[in-house]
Amino acid sequence: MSEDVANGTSHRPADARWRRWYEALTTTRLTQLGAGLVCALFALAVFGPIVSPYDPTAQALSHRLEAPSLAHPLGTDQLGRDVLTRLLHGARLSLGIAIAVTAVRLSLGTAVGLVAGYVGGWVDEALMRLVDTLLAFPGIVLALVIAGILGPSLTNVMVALAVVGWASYARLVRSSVLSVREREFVTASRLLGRSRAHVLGRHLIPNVVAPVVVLATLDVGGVILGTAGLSFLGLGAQPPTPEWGTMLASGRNHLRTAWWLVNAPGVLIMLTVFGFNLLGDGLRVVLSPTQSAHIEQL
Amino acid sequence: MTNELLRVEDLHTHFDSDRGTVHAVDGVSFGVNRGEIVGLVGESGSGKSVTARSIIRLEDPGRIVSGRISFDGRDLTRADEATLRRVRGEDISIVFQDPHETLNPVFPVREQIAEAVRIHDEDHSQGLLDFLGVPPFRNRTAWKRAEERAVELMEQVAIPDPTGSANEYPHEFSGGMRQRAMLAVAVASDPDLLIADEPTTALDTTTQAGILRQIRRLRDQRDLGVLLISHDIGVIAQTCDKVVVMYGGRVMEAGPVEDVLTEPKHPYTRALLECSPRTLDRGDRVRTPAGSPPDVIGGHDGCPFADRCDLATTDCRSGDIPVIEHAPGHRVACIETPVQSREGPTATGGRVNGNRVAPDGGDDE
Amino acid sequence: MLVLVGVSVLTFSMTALTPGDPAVAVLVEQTGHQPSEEAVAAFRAQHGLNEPFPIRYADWATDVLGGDLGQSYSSEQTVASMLVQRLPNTIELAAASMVIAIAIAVPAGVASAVNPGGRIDYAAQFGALVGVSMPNFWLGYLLIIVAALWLDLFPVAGSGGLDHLVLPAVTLGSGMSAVIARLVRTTMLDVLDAPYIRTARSKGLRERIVVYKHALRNALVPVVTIAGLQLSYVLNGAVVVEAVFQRPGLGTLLVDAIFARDYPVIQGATLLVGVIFVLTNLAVDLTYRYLDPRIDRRGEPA
Repeated sequence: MSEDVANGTSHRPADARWRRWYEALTTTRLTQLGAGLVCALFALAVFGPIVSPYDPTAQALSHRLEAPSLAHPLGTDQLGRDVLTRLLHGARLSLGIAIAVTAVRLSLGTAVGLVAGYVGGWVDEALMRLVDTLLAFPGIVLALVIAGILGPSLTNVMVALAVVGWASYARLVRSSVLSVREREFVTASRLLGRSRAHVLGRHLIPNVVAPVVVLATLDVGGVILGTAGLSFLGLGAQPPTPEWGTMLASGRNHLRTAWWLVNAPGVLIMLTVFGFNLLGDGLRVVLSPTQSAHIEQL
Repeated sequence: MTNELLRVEDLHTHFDSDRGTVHAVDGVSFGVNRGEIVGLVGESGSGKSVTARSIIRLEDPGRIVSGRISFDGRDLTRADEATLRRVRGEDISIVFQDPHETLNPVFPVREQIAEAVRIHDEDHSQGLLDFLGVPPFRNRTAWKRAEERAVELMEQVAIPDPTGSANEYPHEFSGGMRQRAMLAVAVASDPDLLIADEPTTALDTTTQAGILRQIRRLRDQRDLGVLLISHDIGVIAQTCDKVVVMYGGRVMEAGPVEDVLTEPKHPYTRALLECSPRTLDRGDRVRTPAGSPPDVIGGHDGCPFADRCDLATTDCRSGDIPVIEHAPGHRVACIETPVQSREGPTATGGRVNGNRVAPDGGDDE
Repeated sequence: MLVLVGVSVLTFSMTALTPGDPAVAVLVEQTGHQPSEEAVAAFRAQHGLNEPFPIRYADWATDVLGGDLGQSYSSEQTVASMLVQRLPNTIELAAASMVIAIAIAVPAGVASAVNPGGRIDYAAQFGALVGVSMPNFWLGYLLIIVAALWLDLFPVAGSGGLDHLVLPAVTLGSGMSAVIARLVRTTMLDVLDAPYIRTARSKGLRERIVVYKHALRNALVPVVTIAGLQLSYVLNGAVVVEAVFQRPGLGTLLVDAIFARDYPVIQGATLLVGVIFVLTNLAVDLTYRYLDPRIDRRGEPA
């Protein structure tokens, strides 16, 4: 019995937690919509490029700037390439990048948060100062400068975004750590002689998982926007890479004549981010009701 | 202008909750006359506060399902919002318990009192921009007058150094002073009826006495009718002329204070008196009536006190309980209580009329 | 204060840490082909790039404090003059966007809070979520297509008069309003539950005054804080929106400088952003103290 007290868990912890997640995903209609959108996008990203008959980079100058038709459901761009195919390839890119960058941010931020929360003292102070500054400072501007200096390329954009955006994870994890640290079962656990690492693994991590997942979901949308934005400015993916932001940028000269060039990527970006936001919001409502919304600007 | 200011007739106020409909007020009737202080006493959950809020029609999120509330002959239960707004402040004012934030923390105290004056000024217009203080729209003279009146009122409720403290914010006032300020707000618009909902519960005993004295003084000066709500029967005994005892959303007993408190007819009233710290001798333990507060979901068939009452019979648990008038003005809703008057509860407790009072030693407040 | 120093060190070191020789990079940009050895050496000597890092930083820092932000690599002007030239445009955009954002967000948030769960609330929240999900550069083009090309109401690009300001400000402002509206809604919902609201109603106050005087004033306190910090959003957005509408401003200056490898300008602009950011925080702090009388006026040092 005292074991249970020290573990701070009830009899069926694993079941209860999976239940919660499942409920979170399926309860609200909006969350379902979000989940649905995200799944659809993943499906498109994975299968779309395989199914499509066109080559995203093959130019066909005789078919330039064609309006949407049966052959080209979203038309062709200024070099005759099929827009839909490019978008599908772009989906792969965007989702892949978003996940990668979010993963790095998450890891970096969690590590910092754990250290700050657990060690405390001046380390905590210093780290939190850094975090606060990073959080408040305009992220895109910073990422812009970093990416610009490193050189315009998709990889550099990814690096820049990762470096600039880990701060909110750090803050979140730190506050979770602080709240759990003081609870009785942790003290009980320590009294029983468990090592710090054990305490960390058993108690802190489970408590942190839920809000971090919510944050990550919402963050993915932000990363997609950031990548697209920086690519739009010319700093990210370079032509002919079919990144959504780059595609939108190259379409800007044809607003009057080939408006689909700009709108197709735009709509897709919006739908993707919207899906993740809905999903994240829904998860947040169920999984961490005390956490305030953290729709980041980056 | 009649002498009876307020008449509540068979009021039923319900709340919808996840577990069912809560019958917070389940058939309450009483009246308040001009110049009279009527006390409404009962445990928490008895429906006293909801009754108070129903009177000024701020019962939201509850709703009044039946019954009638009339003020000075006018029906408040079916009145429209515009009429009610006039009535609030001008005819009936309410003072709430002061946990912390009954006064708006971002405005100085004087302005909040002045606002109460301004609302019921001659023109009754309440212009939005005027009240927001936007310079071209603000009626400077009217507000200046109102603020001077506010200082006068603060003096009347015995707030020390009214001119100085007028500019202070609520958080700079002590609990007792805040309550006095609330009284000033309440009487600023010259109401005829004042409802005081647990005005002293959050205060220490000395401050309590001061506030109660202040209420009595206001009643004397202005011939107000007062409805004083409290769970502390001692407060009622000190201040009120008449008392209404509530339990489970219903009136158990009502009548002149001396009658009801010296010769309580209803078992619940007796239990309350038994348990009040003030009736105990030094060294006695504080007791609470046996049992727990009634479940108010769905109302009661029969008497709500039946489960905790030693005199209860099967007749008590179903059907309507008639209201018997023992003496002029002294009504009881009980069928088992003996009709002749008996001695009051003895200070040492023990058995009274077969009522045993559980010595659990704890205070449930 | 510390922040500024940090930012300046950061930007300065970034330019120094770039892979490859900055001199080469710049010259390549300028001339279009690989520069000769002598050209590189001359460039380095001319711009003091041969000194060790700390000395370069110290030099630069002292220059900055004296008001000299250096000379642009790619144009003839000094960095300072370029910044001064472009700043007003961006400030104009920022201010206009803020105004639009507040004008949309506050009524929407209040309307939502007064009737939570109602149709207006639902619509507003949905709209806010869409607004936050939409890339601002796309919104800009959308507006251009509709307002400028189809309806021919506003000019498409450039800066100048009020009509050049409208579309960019709406683009930027609507994104901000999404965030602010949500905040207003949450705070108002909280506030409307407070005891003093019931007191206000019991005085016989009109509901409109209860909401707009008693409730809103209390809700404003946290909202102002967050809104002030929205400055980050504005600066982020300005970079992109200026590009979309081809408005000369800090954003376009920064982007152009980055492509041109114009390091002094990059440093200067970033520093300026940092300064603005610190100043705004200070201003928000002061306003917050003024709005909430419960905060001890003495407070703690920044």
